[in-house]
Amino acid sequence: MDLLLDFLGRIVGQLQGPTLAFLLGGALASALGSKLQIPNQVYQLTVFILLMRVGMGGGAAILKAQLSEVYLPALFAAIIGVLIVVLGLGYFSLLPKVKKSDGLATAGLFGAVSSATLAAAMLHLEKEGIAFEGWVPALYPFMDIPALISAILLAQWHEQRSQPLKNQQGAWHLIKDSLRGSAVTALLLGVALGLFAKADNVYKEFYDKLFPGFLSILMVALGIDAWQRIKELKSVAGWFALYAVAAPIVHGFIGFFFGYLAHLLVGLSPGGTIILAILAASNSDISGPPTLRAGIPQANPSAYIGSSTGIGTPVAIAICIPLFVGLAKIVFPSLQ
Amino acid sequence: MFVEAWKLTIITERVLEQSISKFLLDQGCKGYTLFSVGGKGLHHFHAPVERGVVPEEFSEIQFEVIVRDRTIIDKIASALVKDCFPHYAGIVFIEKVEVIRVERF
Repeated sequence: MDLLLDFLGRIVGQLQGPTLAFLLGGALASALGSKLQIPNQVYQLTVFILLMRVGMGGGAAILKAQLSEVYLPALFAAIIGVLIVVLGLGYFSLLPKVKKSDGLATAGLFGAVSSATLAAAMLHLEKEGIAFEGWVPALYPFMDIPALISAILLAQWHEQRSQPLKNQQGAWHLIKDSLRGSAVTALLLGVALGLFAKADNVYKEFYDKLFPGFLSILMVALGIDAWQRIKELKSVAGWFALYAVAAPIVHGFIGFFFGYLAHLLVGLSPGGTIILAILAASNSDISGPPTLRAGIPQANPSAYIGSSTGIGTPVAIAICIPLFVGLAKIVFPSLQ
Repeated sequence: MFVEAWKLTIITERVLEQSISKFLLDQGCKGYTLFSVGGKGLHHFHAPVERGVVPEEFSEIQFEVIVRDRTIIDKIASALVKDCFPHYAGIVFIEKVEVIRVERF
């Protein structure tokens, strides 16, 4: 009972916290028919700044880390990404009247990672004083890319289709395309700068300071979008809404399990375990949809974007972040 | 001074920009004009790119190509209908135009 109260208290706390409040504010403005818009260029810049900060922090942390500590969580991140897609395929295969391609695209998006959710989780942990290895958030592409690619390859395998204008999309082409996506590029650029440039000053004085402010802008933008996307979900089966509510929580538990395994095997910190759980719980809003639109053209974008941006991201931020912080406090006595 | 030619207009999803632009040149077009557009059709509402948040690739683009040889246009249009438009939003139409500097088309 105490645990439940503690968890509910955390959810209320999260609702009052700035991150979710901005998200809800954006959604409310949109629901009231407001013409408020975050211009696309601002949105792109916001994502760039957040991921540069995550990447630079990650790069600097990799320098200090033992390689043996990093490779197992990185491998786990990739396994989680693929596992989520396979589980999603299993779920949607059981359902009547759901197109396999729609299910796979949705599972791919939920296996991929949301920079906004990740940034919100990092800020939450920093506020609570829970330490985590700086390189764990930089595992983003290790989960994101395998998830998107396995979804696309499985969809291609299920349905031999004509390629748009004969542009063949093999696995290597897909990997190259994912690495060139704006979100992953910003993150990898940040990692490289953190590793090789002496960028401590600009990191601390610029990117780190801008992080909470820009996250709040991104949250308003995602709130506006979430409301618009929920409306699109009406045109597809209710199974997608059910999946979008449950999947972030289930995936978070899978991530937490692998994080705990890495804790036992290579000493991943409790904070690192939470971040891995949130990476698993989150779903891509930005870089994933265009990759899937190109890779699985027969899938209905309303199904996967509606599920992801409309429901999945709010669930990941509002429920999963407090849930897995609470779970970590139970599992790791050192956090109490 | 003016010579008759055909203008082909293609309105489709931005995600196809690279493959269509390459395809047009492969088919013998000497160039094209590209616009960012938005609008509403049977598929659904496509916000123009200036609106935030919509992943940019989900916005619409419009190609305009002018060629003198009608057979090229028919080839391009049938390839688009066969390969792209079963799954992607797309509108194609042609108009008769008159051009100068005919060597450019």
